[in-house]
Amino acid sequence: MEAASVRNAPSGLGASERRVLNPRPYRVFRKSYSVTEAKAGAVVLVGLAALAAWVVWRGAHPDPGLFADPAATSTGSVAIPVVEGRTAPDGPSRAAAARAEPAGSGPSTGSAPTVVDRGALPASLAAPGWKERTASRFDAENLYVKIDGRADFFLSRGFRSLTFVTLEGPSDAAVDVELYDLGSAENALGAFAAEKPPETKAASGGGTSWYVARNALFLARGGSYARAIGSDESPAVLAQLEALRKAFEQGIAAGEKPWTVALFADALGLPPDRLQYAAENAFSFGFAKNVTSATLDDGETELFVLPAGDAAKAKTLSAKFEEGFLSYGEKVAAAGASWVKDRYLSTFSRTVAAGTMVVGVRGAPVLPKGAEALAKLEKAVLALPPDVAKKAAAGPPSAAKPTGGGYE
Amino acid sequence: MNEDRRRFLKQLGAVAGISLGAGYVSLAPSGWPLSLSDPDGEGGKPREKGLRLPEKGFAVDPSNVLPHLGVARGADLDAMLKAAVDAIGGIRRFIRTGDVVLVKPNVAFERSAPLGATSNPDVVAALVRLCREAGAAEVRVADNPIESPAACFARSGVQRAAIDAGSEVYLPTPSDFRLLETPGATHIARWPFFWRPFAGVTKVIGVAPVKDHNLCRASMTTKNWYGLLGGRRNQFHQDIHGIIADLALMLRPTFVVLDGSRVLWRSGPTGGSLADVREGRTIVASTDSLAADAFGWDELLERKGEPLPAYFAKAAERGLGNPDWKRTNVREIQVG
Repeated sequence: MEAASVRNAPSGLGASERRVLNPRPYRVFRKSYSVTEAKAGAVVLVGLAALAAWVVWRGAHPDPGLFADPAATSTGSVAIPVVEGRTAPDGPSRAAAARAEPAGSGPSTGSAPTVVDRGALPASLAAPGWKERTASRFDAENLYVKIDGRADFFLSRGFRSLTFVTLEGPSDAAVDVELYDLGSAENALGAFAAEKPPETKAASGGGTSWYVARNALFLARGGSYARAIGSDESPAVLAQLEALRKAFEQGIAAGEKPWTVALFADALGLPPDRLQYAAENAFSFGFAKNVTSATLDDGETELFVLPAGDAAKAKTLSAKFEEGFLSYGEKVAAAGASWVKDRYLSTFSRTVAAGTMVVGVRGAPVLPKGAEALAKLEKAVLALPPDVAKKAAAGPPSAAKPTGGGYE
Repeated sequence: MNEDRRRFLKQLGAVAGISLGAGYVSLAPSGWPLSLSDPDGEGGKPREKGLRLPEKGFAVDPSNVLPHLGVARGADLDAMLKAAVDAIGGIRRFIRTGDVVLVKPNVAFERSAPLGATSNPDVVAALVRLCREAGAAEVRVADNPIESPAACFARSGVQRAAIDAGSEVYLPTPSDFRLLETPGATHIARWPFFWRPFAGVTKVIGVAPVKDHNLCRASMTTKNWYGLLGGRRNQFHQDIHGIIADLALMLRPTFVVLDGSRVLWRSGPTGGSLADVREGRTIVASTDSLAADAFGWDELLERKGEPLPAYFAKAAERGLGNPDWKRTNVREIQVG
């Protein structure tokens, strides 16, 4: 009794302390409940039991949709498992088949985002006798839905969006138009040059570079790169490709001529479609960013330029390049300058600071020719107006990056 | 006073213990014991029991006498396919009366057949007919394309060709995917799989085009099984060679057909220009995917002398084939 009394007694605690540290936590102060309370409690218990039963039942009969990731079919589309009268087991009826999209359609409902705008795609693309289907757009998050396997190619070149539309022509002819917004002319020209077969000569003029490879038109203008893929090489398809080229030239802004085009094309006389742009990791050098390069007529000697910001940084960066080239070559002195000779390919490379930029030549099979090209490039860079160098140092707009969950 | 202090300390200890316990179960990483952490919400989903394909896949008994690789060259696709299959034992070695056969073409992209980004519909049709003639009770054609399935099957011509040849075409819907368990796989030990066309199937044949590939350099019969995966499969491009080696482990087919009627020799896997496609005039049938693909690398993509992509070695290390096709039993036939 005494012990209980001690346990239950406040033991010197004040009223407020007792509320916090209750010395009699298990005491039942009221030993009976009213009938109403008991009924209400029973109702609550029955409700809880029903809820528990429902949870158990749902656990045993899960919604099949839970197991199907929205990307389970890659496109996330609800395709119809039926084809013109022969249905797969449990497939829907023939009537459903009629709702399936015909050939030449854009990605089916759900497979592509709802069309909100056409981006830089000009308004009228269809030549006489052709009609345009609904356009669709893809961003960095869902580009893989359209061109899985090829998406990386564009993501590494400043990709922002892809607008896709199919044009349908006579006799089942079709042209798929893919317009990539790559954010800058450097990226657009880089993608264009990288996809162009070496044996193909591109035409350039008025801010557009383009070529037709049998059934397909490839074109770079401003920050856009367009591919128009014809179903065949029929005259109707080729006429539509020509109409597209004109529509792109008229409907897509050429933008400001990139300084690299002015440098390599105007000053050095190299075709713009030879320009390659690497936003980072050029030549597999981690420090080499914002590098524009072009190959000379011999197909091997590569001239390159990159802005460093200021003269001191340019010298430091130039030294880094030399160090990088030395990792697979050795230093040789020629014509009063220091070059690096590749120990495997026996080609020559050299980098120098030219004002606030770094210029270089890489892989020259004949040293004097490489030296001559480098001297020309250096002179052309030093002749660039100061504001161009300043603008170049900022680099082209950066790419839209997927933010996880999409293209990982 | 001592009693009060003891009680206070006990209560303090209890509160601290409960706080620590609650903190642990809520903050501990999801793999730790008793952790309630569920960052991606997967833990809240019902745990689906994974399905498994037959342990030895769908392969028939191996032969020490018959060639592993049958190569037919010519222009008549039906005759070439038959000759290639005859070279490795004939269709009746593989297909018995009453078999339910799944044919898996590559219909990944919405491209017309001449562009070489998809299996040649005429080769798919020839294969369906061959299986039918061998007594197959049912032939199914299925793929989970990158783009809209309906549009890909229609534009590629595979849908029409497969139906006309007597098969049923299965286009994927979200509910057609089930979790597949592939023991030993690095990336797809448990992964959504296009299961519905596999229900009741007794034989599986892959028929893949020969394509350049931007990431793995070559897409042929082994890479073709990628088209059976669901989920966010694009993430596997981070380790493209690893996933292809996993695919070889996941599905061991009855045999594969390497459709070299056209070769997308550059700008793959999507292609687009006819300038990127050349005539291959070759069909290969093989019980060894790696041997068939290595043949395609050397002879059809014409990259002999260049090192094989890394997935060949990864799959070969697991004993899933022999990329050294010249040392396997090969039979080449000129048709017509």
